[in-house]
Amino acid sequence: MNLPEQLSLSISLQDDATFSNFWVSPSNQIPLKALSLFCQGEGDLSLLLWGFGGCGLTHLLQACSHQSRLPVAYLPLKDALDLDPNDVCANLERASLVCVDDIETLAGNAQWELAFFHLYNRLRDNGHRLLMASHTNPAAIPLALPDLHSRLLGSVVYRVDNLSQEEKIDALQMRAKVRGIKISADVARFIIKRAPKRMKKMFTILEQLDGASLRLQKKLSVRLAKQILDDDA
Amino acid sequence: MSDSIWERCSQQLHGELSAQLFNTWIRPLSVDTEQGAGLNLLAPNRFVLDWVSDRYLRRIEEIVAQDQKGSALCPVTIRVSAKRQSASQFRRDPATLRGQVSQPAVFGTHEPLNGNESFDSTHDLNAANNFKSHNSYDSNTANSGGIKSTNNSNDNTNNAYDANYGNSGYGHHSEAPQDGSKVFRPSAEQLSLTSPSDAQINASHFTASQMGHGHHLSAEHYSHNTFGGEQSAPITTNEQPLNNSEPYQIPLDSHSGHSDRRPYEQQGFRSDTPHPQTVGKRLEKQDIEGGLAHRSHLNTGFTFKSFVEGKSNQLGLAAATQVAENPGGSYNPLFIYGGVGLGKTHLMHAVGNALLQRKPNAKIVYLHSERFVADMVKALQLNAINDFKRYYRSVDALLIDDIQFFAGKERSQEEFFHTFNALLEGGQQIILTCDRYPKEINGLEERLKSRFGWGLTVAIEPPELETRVAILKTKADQAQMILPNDAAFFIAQRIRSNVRELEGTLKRVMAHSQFTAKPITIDLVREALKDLLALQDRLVSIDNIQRVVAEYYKIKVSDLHSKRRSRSVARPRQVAMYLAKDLTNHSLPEIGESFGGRDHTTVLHACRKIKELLEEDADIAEDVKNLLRTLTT
Repeated sequence: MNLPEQLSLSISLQDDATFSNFWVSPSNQIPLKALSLFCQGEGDLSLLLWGFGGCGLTHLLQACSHQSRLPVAYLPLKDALDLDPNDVCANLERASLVCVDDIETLAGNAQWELAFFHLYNRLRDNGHRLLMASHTNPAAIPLALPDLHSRLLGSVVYRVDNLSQEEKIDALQMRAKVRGIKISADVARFIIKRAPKRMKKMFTILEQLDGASLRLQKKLSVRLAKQILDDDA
Repeated sequence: MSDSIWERCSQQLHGELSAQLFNTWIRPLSVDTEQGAGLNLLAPNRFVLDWVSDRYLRRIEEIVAQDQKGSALCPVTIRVSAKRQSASQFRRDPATLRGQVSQPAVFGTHEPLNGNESFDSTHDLNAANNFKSHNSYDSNTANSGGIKSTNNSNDNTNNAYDANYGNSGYGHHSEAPQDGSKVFRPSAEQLSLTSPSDAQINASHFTASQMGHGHHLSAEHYSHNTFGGEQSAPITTNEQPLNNSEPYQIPLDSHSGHSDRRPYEQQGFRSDTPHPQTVGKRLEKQDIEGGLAHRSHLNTGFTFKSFVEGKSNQLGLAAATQVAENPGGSYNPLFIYGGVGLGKTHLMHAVGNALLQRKPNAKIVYLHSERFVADMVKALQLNAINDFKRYYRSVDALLIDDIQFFAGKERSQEEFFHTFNALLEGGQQIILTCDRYPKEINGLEERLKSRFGWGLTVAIEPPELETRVAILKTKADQAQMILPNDAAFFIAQRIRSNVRELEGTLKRVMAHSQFTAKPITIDLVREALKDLLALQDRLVSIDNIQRVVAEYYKIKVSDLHSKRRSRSVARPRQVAMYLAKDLTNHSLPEIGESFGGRDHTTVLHACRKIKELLEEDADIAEDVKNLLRTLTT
């Protein structure tokens, strides 16, 4: 049997995109709970998470891909749109779980809308699962194919909220703890200031600081952080 | 003369009924010109007959009476036409028909058999190549999705299609008529000549078509059909592509008709002779059946029991129930059409499940039209088209979803056409769903469109509020959740588009209740559907309703507020009030206030008036439908 075992395209999963290092804000408890049940094979066959950029959808989808013991496919549509949709979607339904990121980018691409619609149906027919992430409200994605739109909205839909400033501090501290270091709220604030919008950038800076402080054998303070980043620039 | 009376009459009805009702009930009626005085209508089957007699006959009589004012009385009669007996036209001599009833096996023993033999001998040449080509195809497609596959042997392709099939011996069917629809059109004259009763017609139809039907039709179009037209992308990604740029003749076996269903022994082969066909079958088994293995599975959750009936779908439900009780009978095919997410697929599965319950070993095949196309392309590549045909023709019931995706796929239509005919002749049930009325599917061959209307065509419409509430209550019950009426109404008011979205929304609400361990209330629904409602609220404020309505009727918003009472303004105003009442939670006085400070009784009157007009005036109904769509996405 040709079971798809790994994902593809030029994209690979980030090793550190897991559930254990995803900080869950109070308002995201329910979507995360739903996602966790979904990954265990419970409930409806399709789940759609949506939220604005930086809320962690890609992280969550990759975390699901990591966690699943069954054949899983991860498909970031943004990077796949230039490829032939029939090529990309062919046989994907053999995977027990397909995680599709950026579904809002389907809009206006008739070929992709149709191919994705068929993929949805094939997955259903096979009893396999589909996890989708959208960066706009799915009800507002201007899809040309009503059949597809209704299937998206017929999925169980959850909104994942972006983190507030305070929550970002918590998230950074938690991420640091996972790496085995402890950072103060001040350091966290400093990092957030350096990467105001992008959560991913925030975590990259944290990694950078962690590495440097380890090399320098110094505790990570705001002063040190500033020094490291300025030196680097 | 009765033709023109009917034309005027149906025009009148067209104005009075919604498009769907008209399409379902009035359009299938035809005039029997052979009968005596009066207007004698023919209904395609008993179902339509009963329904029309029940609900529309009186109105038809009224219109006809009006039309014939002054002249002699014109009685209206209606009876079942024997439309599906049209295949009787294939027989060259109508007089021989009855004689053939008892000789169903005439077909397999002469001319077509020669075709078989020549085909199968070429098939033999191909058998060895088959394996390699399908193997490489498979591994390539598995990879193309960016999935690592373990099977990667890709060193052989098959370029020999045309060489092997160029002379497969079906050229002698050139006598086949080019215009299939013409051939199949029923003639009332012939029917009344040869078919005094329904049952008798069916019997004669069956054998008559077995006589000559299959090989007549099969010759059509094949010579100019090319493979490339519908090739799906995976094939083109093949590193060593199959030779698909060359137009090649479709490997059509001349026994492509129903003779396929018969075992080879009956066709003149002895079972102990090793037959190329069986070799072929073994080779492609893993691939074809890999595709088949998952396709016949009906969704066991989609039953009649779990289907919630309402005004919008009772017709579809009634028809599906009929089919489940009498598969392959006179409602063949059952054609269910309607917008997305309204339960077409559910009904289809419900019939399948009911059939299985009655006959557990029945072969019920459900698939999406895309699957049919993909399987056919694959079968062509593997030279397994015979197995493909045989498979589809061996089923007890064939359920194909979303048939509109056949549009523009000529080769699939061709193949489906033959399958369709074979099944119909064999008395096997066909159920199709589509997003529109058959005649309105662009890119679909006429002969298919007309066949789709041979059985029973029913529409499913979007559920009205009461049905939506009933659906929510039922689904909550099934999930053993308590959904209070007010919460159910709240959801049903907000999610109007279709059942699928309604159910998706309910699942979300129920999950929210479970996760938070709180009972379902309006507040909880609001909380659970926050993002959805926020988006909607932007759309369905009274202000926005007025804007949208004014724009739709090409008047000014200020006209809606004004005291003007001319029809051109008053009607849109009433529509806007009706929508405001229907879509928002504002009270009647509040709504009146927003329309130039009008009294709440004015709003009440407007709502009643529009409700009334929705039933009577097709234009208003259309307007409201369009406006609702704009306002609720």
